[in-house]
Amino acid sequence: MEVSDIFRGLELAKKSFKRDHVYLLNHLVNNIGSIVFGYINVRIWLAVLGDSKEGIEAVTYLMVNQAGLWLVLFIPYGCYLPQKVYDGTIAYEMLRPYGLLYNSFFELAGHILYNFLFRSIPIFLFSVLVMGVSLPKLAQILPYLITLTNGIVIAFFINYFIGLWSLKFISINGVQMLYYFTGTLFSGAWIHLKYYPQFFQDIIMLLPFAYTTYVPTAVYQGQFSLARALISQWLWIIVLFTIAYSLTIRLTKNMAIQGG
Amino acid sequence: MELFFTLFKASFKREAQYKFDFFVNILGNFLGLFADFLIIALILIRFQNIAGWQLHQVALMYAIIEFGFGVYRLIGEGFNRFEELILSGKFDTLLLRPVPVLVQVMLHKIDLKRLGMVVQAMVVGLWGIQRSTFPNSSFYCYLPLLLLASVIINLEVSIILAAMAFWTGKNKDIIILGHYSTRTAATYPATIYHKLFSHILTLVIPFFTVSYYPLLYYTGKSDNPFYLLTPLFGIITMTLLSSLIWRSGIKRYSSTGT
Amino acid sequence: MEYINVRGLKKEYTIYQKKSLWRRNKIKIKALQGIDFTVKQGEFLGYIGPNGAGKSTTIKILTGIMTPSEGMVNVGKYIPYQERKRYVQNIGVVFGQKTQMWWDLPVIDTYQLLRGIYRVAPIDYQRQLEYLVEKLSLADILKQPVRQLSLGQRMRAELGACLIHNPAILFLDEPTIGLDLISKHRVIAFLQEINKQGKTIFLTTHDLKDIEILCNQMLVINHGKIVYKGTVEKLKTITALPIRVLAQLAHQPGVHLINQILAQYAGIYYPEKKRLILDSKNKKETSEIAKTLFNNFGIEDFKIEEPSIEEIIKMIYSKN
Repeated sequence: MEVSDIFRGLELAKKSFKRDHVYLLNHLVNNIGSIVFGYINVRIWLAVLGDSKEGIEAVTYLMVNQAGLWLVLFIPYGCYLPQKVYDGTIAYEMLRPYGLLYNSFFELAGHILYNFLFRSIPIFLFSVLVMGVSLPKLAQILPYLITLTNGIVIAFFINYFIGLWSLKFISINGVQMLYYFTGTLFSGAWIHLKYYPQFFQDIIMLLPFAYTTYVPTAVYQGQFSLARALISQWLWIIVLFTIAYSLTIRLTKNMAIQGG
Repeated sequence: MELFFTLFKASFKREAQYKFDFFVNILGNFLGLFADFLIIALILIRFQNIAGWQLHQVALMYAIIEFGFGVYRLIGEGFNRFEELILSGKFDTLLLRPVPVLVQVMLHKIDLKRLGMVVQAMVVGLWGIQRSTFPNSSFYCYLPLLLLASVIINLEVSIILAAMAFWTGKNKDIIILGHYSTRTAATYPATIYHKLFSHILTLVIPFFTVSYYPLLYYTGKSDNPFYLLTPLFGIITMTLLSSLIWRSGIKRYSSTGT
Repeated sequence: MEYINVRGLKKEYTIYQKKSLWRRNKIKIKALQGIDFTVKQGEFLGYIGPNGAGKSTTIKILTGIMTPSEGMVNVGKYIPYQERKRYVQNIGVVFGQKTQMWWDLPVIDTYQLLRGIYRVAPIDYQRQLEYLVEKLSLADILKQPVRQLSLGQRMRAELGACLIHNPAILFLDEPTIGLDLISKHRVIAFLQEINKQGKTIFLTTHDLKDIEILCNQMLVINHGKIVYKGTVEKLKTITALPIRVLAQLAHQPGVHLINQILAQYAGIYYPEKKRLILDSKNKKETSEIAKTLFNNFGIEDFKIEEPSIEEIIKMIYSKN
């Protein structure tokens, strides 16, 4: 990949950022909804934990997750690919002078940046100012942002696989709810993993989902060592990238043979 | 009524065309929401109760609300996606037919994959009933009415929020705020929230009138049978409000167009 | 007998132009500025105008979807926007750009659905369906899902759909848009036939040829005002556009004679092609020119071109 390729990718990202920006007002309404969901969770946990140290930690854990939800879990289902299959615009994607993986990544990147600025930051600020979420120690900020970015990349690959799957089998929203099921249960977005039974925790740490949500937030709270987080996240990224890359090549080759 | 079945049949046929997606989706809708309940179950297995409510009691609240929500998503998906009808201009063609628009919008799409949601709610509810002891057996007569009330309130909230699209064009995000989040909130005891918030869920978007209050009586937390009438108040106000808002929405649409 | 009666119809609305997230500009649009017209029972009316002239607004009001700001509309015994549900039982509507069919379902399913919606008796439905299948050649496409139909097939199916309940009046908004010649011809032939059977048809289109073939009356709207109403024939005479006479001469004519003719009539002569083109102001002058030419020259080819309806309409638009 050359430098000019990256610039072209950034153009793609800019376009999807702008497309989102048109609906800013709608997204602000959505943020309030998101805060209400966060509030419900917080009240549940406070009701069982009380105003203890554990309770306050839970509030921070939940709301930091809630702010990050739009970066690692509620991202465009299947990286826009199922939608493109449905309305037929996937045909244009195939004509582009760059690969599907490349296009999907940068299109999502613009969307993520937008969500970070206009969803995550407002929700986070609200949580800090109104709901008593504690700020991270200064030394944890950079580690958090790095592990969060890794988490986003992992989440991208998970959705990219769903996209490829829908391309292959022409299935539009087939596994959407299954994706949310696994995300809800395995990412730790609504429950700190320490409240799961031990064997379940062990299984979850062998799946990629926890590395998108639980791990970055645990780093934020200083409960997870940065080195361990980085090594495991990068391992996941390498594995997922290798699979995604070879699957993309196989799939696009097949499509070319069929004559598009 | 005959029309209802014709529309229902058409929607069913459409859905059944994508067989694989259809069955995976039913399963997904079952599991997707069940995950929410699993998490609350895990919490309550560890902490015994939330604001004095035990897991099987929370399960009842959860089941009543989610049953209504599931049935609404099953037969009222047209309201949920109302902005698509408005933005595509397809709403015009509905106005050209001699049948109430509300019925046409409601049955515009029967979303059979939501059966998964309904079944999920029933499974959780049956489990809750099995574990519970009620002050008297009138519960079994009352329950069907309560479920019906939950369906009606869910539909009416969705009509109000759908009608917002007459003014705003898009309303998906308003629905998430006004319906999805409030219905989730109403599956937990009112006392865990700030007073203002539980008042909103009682008086403005009155989901508590079909979940929390009637169950106060049947879980033995209160012996005031007045609580059994709350669903009626919820429905009456919402019926008035939703028909008023829907009508003025239609009026506005016909004076401005798209 | 007047069937559609429109008097002093006005429609204004405000749209908002977004300037930034919070601020917006209010713009008042006068879509219709007081229009009057009538349509008789059994008439085939063509309604034309450039984009944004007020065509869609008119049709939305006439079909009961929109209420006017001022003025009166009667269709039969109904006021469309006041008695919408009873009124729409009597009309059939096709919006060329939107489908009223169920996208994923076979055509026949939509028809059955519409039968239920309009409460058509089974016998009537059967009879009407057979008629439509025959006239619109629907037999092959009846069992196909709408999304698989070609544009021409879809439009025929769409016409069938709006006639299931056998309405007395049809509103067709661009029913031939995007169709190839053969599909278009079929649609036109069908419309001609049902008009002969007594259906009143209100047609908007951009294609003036359709109007020339189909309509006995036409309305031209521009900037929210009716700028012409009357027959298609009369339209051709109201503008001062010239009739063009083209003559291909057999031999090179004398320069003197040509100059004399060019002095008398406006025109031009191309010596290298031996072609003479003259503009005539009216029919009398045309026959005069013809006589002169045939008397003086050997003529290889002779053509009279009346101004095309496109040119006339273009001229009407540019006038206001």
